[in-house]
Formats: sequence, structure tokens, C-alpha cells
Amino acid sequence: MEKLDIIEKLATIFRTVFKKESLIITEDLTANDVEGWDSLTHMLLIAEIENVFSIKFKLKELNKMKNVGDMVAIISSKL
Amino acid sequence: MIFTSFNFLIFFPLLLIFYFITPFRFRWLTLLCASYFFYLNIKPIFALITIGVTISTYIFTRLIDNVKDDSQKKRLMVINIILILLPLFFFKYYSNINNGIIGLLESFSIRWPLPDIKLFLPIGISFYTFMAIGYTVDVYNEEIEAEKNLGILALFISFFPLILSGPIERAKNMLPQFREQKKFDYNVAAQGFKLMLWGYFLKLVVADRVGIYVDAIYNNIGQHNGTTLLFASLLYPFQVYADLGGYSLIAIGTAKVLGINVMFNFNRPFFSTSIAEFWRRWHISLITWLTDYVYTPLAFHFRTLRIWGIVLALMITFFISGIWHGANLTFIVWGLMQGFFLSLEALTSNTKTKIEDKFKLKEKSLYILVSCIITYVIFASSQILGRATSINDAFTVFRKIATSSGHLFIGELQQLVYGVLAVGFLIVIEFRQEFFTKNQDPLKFNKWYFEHLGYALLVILILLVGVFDGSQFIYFQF
Amino acid sequence: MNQLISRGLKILFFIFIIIVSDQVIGLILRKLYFNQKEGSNRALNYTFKECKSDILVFGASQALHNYDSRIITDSLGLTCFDAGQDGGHSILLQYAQIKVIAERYSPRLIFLEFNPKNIVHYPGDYDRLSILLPYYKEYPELRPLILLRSPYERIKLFSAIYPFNSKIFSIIRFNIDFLSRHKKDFEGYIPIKDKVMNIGMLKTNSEIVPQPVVDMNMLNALENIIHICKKKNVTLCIVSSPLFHTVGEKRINNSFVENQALDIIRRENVKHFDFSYDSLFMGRLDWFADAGHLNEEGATNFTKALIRRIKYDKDLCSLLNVKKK
Repeated sequence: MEKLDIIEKLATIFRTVFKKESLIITEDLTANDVEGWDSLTHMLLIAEIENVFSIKFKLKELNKMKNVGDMVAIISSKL
Repeated sequence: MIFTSFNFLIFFPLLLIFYFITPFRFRWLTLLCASYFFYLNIKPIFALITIGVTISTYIFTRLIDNVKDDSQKKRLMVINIILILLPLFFFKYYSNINNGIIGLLESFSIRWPLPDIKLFLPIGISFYTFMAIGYTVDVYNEEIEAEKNLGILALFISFFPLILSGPIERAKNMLPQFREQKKFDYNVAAQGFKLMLWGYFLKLVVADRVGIYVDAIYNNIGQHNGTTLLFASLLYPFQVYADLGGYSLIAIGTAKVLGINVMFNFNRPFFSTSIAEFWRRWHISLITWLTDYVYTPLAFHFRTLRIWGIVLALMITFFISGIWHGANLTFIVWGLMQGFFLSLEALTSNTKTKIEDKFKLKEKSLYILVSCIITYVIFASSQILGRATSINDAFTVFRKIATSSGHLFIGELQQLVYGVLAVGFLIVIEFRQEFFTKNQDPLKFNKWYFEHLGYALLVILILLVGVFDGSQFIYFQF
Repeated sequence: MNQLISRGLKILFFIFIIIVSDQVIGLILRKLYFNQKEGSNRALNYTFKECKSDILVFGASQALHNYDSRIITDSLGLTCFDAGQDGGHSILLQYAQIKVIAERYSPRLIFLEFNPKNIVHYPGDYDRLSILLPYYKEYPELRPLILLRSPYERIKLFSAIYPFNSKIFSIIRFNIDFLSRHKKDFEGYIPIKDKVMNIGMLKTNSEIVPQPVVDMNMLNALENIIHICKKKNVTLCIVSSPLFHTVGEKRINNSFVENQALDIIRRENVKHFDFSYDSLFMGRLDWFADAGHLNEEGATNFTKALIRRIKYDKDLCSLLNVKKK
């Protein structure tokens, strides 16, 4: 899957999890930029991503996701 | 040595001189010696545990870095965590577990004579143990490389500003700073002194003064009416905040004067409009530590349960934090209560956001004020469990607040006057910080001489009404 | 270079402001402190500087609330002032008071409220000596006692505010006339009106010392008080006030600590009236305000009982010129 496809898919997930239709996803988006992205919703997001892409993360990888770019890189390595 | 002792006022200037004349390469050594001197001053034997934790952590983290196999790395991490937790558990829970077992066996009429030792908790043990655990996990997660210089690792674990009560720092932030070659920076040092001064004010003028009244009430719960208990319980969070927050600020300021940046521990928590926000602004170093090393692994493990997995992880995290605060049923209930409120908020947050958006409530100052007060009251009521010595006492307090009234117990009028004025002063300063200056410096003015006058006023206030020793203790009634 | 000078000047300005305001505020507080019209500081000032009564009562809160000076004056025909001080002070404060008084005049009789149990070492007792800080300058004889707090006291006393730490509220309050009519005192004695004593209150013990150790400074203070009184020809009576006990409660064997103090009292041949287990007060909930303090009615009865004991004592009667019963 192309990077852009992954971002597109992620955007849909983000919009449902954070309930913001207008949310725009870029590679350097971090938790600080999105209202409601905290340690509670983060895990919901992760579970949803795993579900949609049918992949499984490792805890170690979770710690390495500092922004959406990192997330995309890890996801694409699993596909 | 503690920050509020006169010894520290002599120790710190002397250390500064030594520190800044030491060549850069050896500054860590000066700090290490100073840290052990500082700690040994409390009770020399306790330093053995610190050394033990340091050596164990050093060996295991080096091993983790050197083995290839992931499951082996994991095993090494777990062994080290268990090893360094042992002394903490032993000192913190020995007498509880012992009494518990004796009680249990006695109910089966078996006598099991294990010595009932009154153990003194080695001061700071939970703080440096937590820092060492965090470091071990970070090395396992490959967030940082294992430190090769035993001395620098020892300094990280024993760094004197943090060892007594935090902030619980991370190796990632601290280790590089011990190597950096930093020149003396006047502005940074000045800011450090400002924070220290404000910290001393919080500790000596607010916390210890309010504590005199709260102790007088809580030590004699049976003798006081609901009005008095309500008043003392509403004051108590300010005591806890000014105590730990003040102490943390002294620590942060001390480190800053030495040119080392340490994370802030509190971010004006009483201006939070929700419990979740409160816990992002209260005891931040502990909460982020718990988030990273307890909550996240748990929530990750339960992630397929979705929102209920998060609730479960939250409850377990706060349960553990409750046990950490004290080996007492009250703290476990306290922890579960926090978990309950947070979960409740998480479950209702969608509805709440909708209502807030619809009526644009977030811009209305009255709504903000009411939200702050509600958050405060919820926290204060949970703190009743933090303060009471037993579950029974806590229930007595709740019951009396709900059912009995009467005149407020004054005790010694001046204690109450100083305490309430000090809390008022604190609120005014923080209100200005929160909504106007938005600065970590408590007294921020455009003109330098206003600032100087402000900090001089703090010194004078500390001299006038700071609590310097036990002479202010109120006897019940007299 | 310019920056260095301006920073240096700013720091000097900061220190200058602190020193000047400390000295000025300290001076004002000192003036006001010694000008108080009522309250416990006023009572201490009065004891140190003015009091000329024939009989003095020294001790902590029990001395202040249990001894009715008016009854003592009426029955012995001698003026009496109750110099007791609230706030859990130890014998070290009483030693300070007697030391200063003895320099000025010799009272005829001193009642020293003292329970031998209290000779136990407790660090808080030294903290409470802060009550003497305002007198450090004026009374060199008190300095060794004040320095027992900590050797750093000398440095701390460079600050003019420090001796008046935590006192500003009462200093202001007792300088303003209309505010200072809260408690009536009768020649020092302050009665407690409460009659709320119940058995449940017996458990409110605030300070427990796990392993009692004799405090040598306090033991020395006791000895010194006795010696001062002998030297100045003052009759000294050590009195242990009643404590609340239920009817028939037996005295627990004297501890090692108590015996140390009692040995001195016996050796020096000082009168000791011990009411701590007196049967007259056993079970009298109506006479106590709490486990260790009598209320007004109890104080009246206790003072009368004390006078009776004195009037039965041949030596004391001849010393005080009163008729023996």
C-alpha cells in the first residue's frame, strides 16, 4: 500500500475516533495538535488501526510513534 | 539533609562554589559526591540501598544492551525490576503484611512469632526506585542506550535535588545533561532562585501553616463537628499541593541553578475544569511515569476490550498508585475512587463535549469557575481518604459532614488567620499566572525592580509567618 | 562588563531591600511586642519586668488554668501572680522565668507546677523555646537556654523579624484595645469554663514518645531552679496537678524517668505536693476540662486543697507567717 493510501485510511479512523469531521492528517501531526488525543483515546485509536489494517503492534513500537509519520512507517512495515 | 533545614542553606552555596570551579569533565563527580553527602546526612545506612539499586540497574541494563534475543532482554528487565522493588516492598509493607498474616493465623488460633519491627522507610526510596525502573524499561525499549559510566548512572539515581521527593525524572532527560558542558547562565540561575523562593514560600508559609490546623482537626475527628471537618477537608488539598509542589519547586530551582533542567511537577492543578485535566496538572512526574510504565502496557494488553479495556487499565493503575501512596486500605479506596471518577468522565466525555460546544460554555468564565470548583470538591472529598488514618475514620468524617453542623472550631485564631491568608495569597498569584502572565515564574513583572520587590516581599513573609519548627503545634483545645 | 555591573547592582538592591525591611519591620514588631496590653506574651513580659507579687505560680498550661491566684491571696494574705504559660512548655521555660525573676527580686513562695513524667526528652520542647527569642538581646542569662534550640540561632538572630516569627497577629491584636477583651484573667489565672469532659476524650493524646529518655537539660533545669530558690531564700513548692483518673485507678509504678526527677526533689529536700492520683479528683468528670486540665470549678477545689495542705505543714506556715491548722 502506498504511503498516501495509508494516510487516507488513517484520516477516516482519526475522524471517527476523535469525532472531528474536519480533521486533516499530515505526517508531522502529533497528539498535542489534536484536542482529545490523550492517553485514553490513544489506545482506542491503536485498537481501531489494528482492526482496519488487520495488523498487530508491539508495545515497543507504540513507544516509538511520536507523530503520524512514525505511525505510517510502522504500519507500512507490517503490510 | 532536607531543603528546609538550616544545614541546606549552608550546603548549597558551598556546593555552588565547588561546582562552578570544577572543570566541566568532573562536574558530574562533584554532583555525585554532593548527592551522597546530602543523602548520608539523613541516615548513612540507607545509602547502601541506593548503592545496591544503582549497581543492580547498571549490570542488568548493560546486559540488556549486550544480548541479542528479545525474550532474554525481557527476562533481564523483569529480573532487575523485581530486584530493585524488593527493598521498597520490604520497607513499605513488611509490618502491614506481617500484621496481616499474624492476624489471619491468630484467627485460626495459631501463633506465628515473626519479629514486629518498626521500620523507618528509607527516605526517597520510592522516588529513586521508580527512576531506576523507568530507566531499565527505556533501555529495554531501546529509547536510550545503557549508560556505560557507572558514576553518571549513580548520579542519575541519587541526584540530590530529586532524591527526597522527586520530580521523578527520566534518564533520557537527565543523563545527557550530566555530560553537557554548560557555562554559568545568570538568567537561568536567577530563575532557579526565584522558583526556590516560591517553593519555600509554599512549603513554609502555606503547607506547614495549613497543616497545623488540619492536623489539629484530623487528629481528633471524634471531637469535631461537621462544619469544622468540612472546612478542614476543603483546606487539606492546599496543604498537600503546597507541600509536595513547594518541595518540588525547591528541587527544580536547585537543579536549575546548577544548570540542569528538571520537569515541572505541578501546573496549577486547582484551575482544572475536569478530573482528567486535573490529573494532567497534578504530580505530573508521577502520573506520566504511571502512564508510561503501568497504564500504557496494561491498556495495550486490554486494547481489544475497547473502552472497557481502558477503564480496567485505569482502575488497576490507580489501585497500584493507591498502594504506593500508603500501605493502607484508605489509599486503595482512594486510588479506586480516582479511577472511578476518571472512568466516569471518559464514558460521558462525548455528551459533555456536545453540550459544551452547543452552548459555547468553554468561553464563559462562570462555567469555568463552576467546573474548577466541582473538580476541586471531588478531589478534596477523595483526599479525605488520603488524610484519615483508617476507613472508619474516613466514614466518620463523611457522615459528620453530611449530618452534623455547628460552630467552626477556631483553636488558636492566629493559626487559622495565617493559614487562610496564605492560601488566599497563593490563589491570587496562581490566578495571575494562569490567566495573565502565563509564566512559570510566580512573580512576573515588566519592570525588574517590581520583581525584585516582589521576591523580597516573599522573603519577608517567610520570616514573618513561615513555620520553622514544631513550636507552632496546637494542642487540642489549648 | 556593563552587564556584569548592572546585574551586580540589581543583586545588591535585592539584598539591600531585604535587610532594610527586615530591620525596620523587626524594630516595629519589637516596640509593639513589649507594648502588648493583654495575652500570653504580655503575661510573660509582666513576669520578666514588672511583677512584684509575694507568691508566684510557674508552669505550663496546668499552672495557668488550675491555680486560682485570688483564692491563694485570700487564704494566705499574700499577693499572688500566676505566671503559667499555655502551649505545652517544658521546665526549661520555667527555669528561664525563675532565672530572670530572681535577678530582680525574691518572691516569698514559688509554686512550680511539675509532673516528674515530663522530664522525658522530646525535641518539640526545644522548638517551643522560641517563646524566649524576643528576650535574647536584653537578657544575656537566657542565651544559653535559647542556644539549646540550635547552634544556628545566633546566625538566625541577625534577622530582626526572626524573634517575632508567627507572632505578628497576636502582637497587633493585643496592641489594639477594642479587640483585646476576649479572656478575663485574674492575676494571671485564666479559668476554663468548659464542662464538656467525657470519657471519650481521654483518648486524645497528641504526643506519644515511644522510648522515653531522660532529658538531662531538663533535669539540670530542675536542679538549678532549686538552687536559685535556696540561694535567694525563696520557698519552693513543687506541685503535681490532678490528672483525670477513674475511681479506684491505681498509680502505675514510677518509671525510671520519673525516679530521676523525684530523686533530686528528695535529695534537695524540697516540698512536693503530688495531686496526680489524689482521690478527691478521681472520677470527677465535672471538674475537668480534659484529661490534664481542670475547669473553673475544679481549679477552685484544687487551689483550696493545695492551701489546706500548706496550712497543715508546720515549716511552711512558719515561713509564710500563717496560722497552722
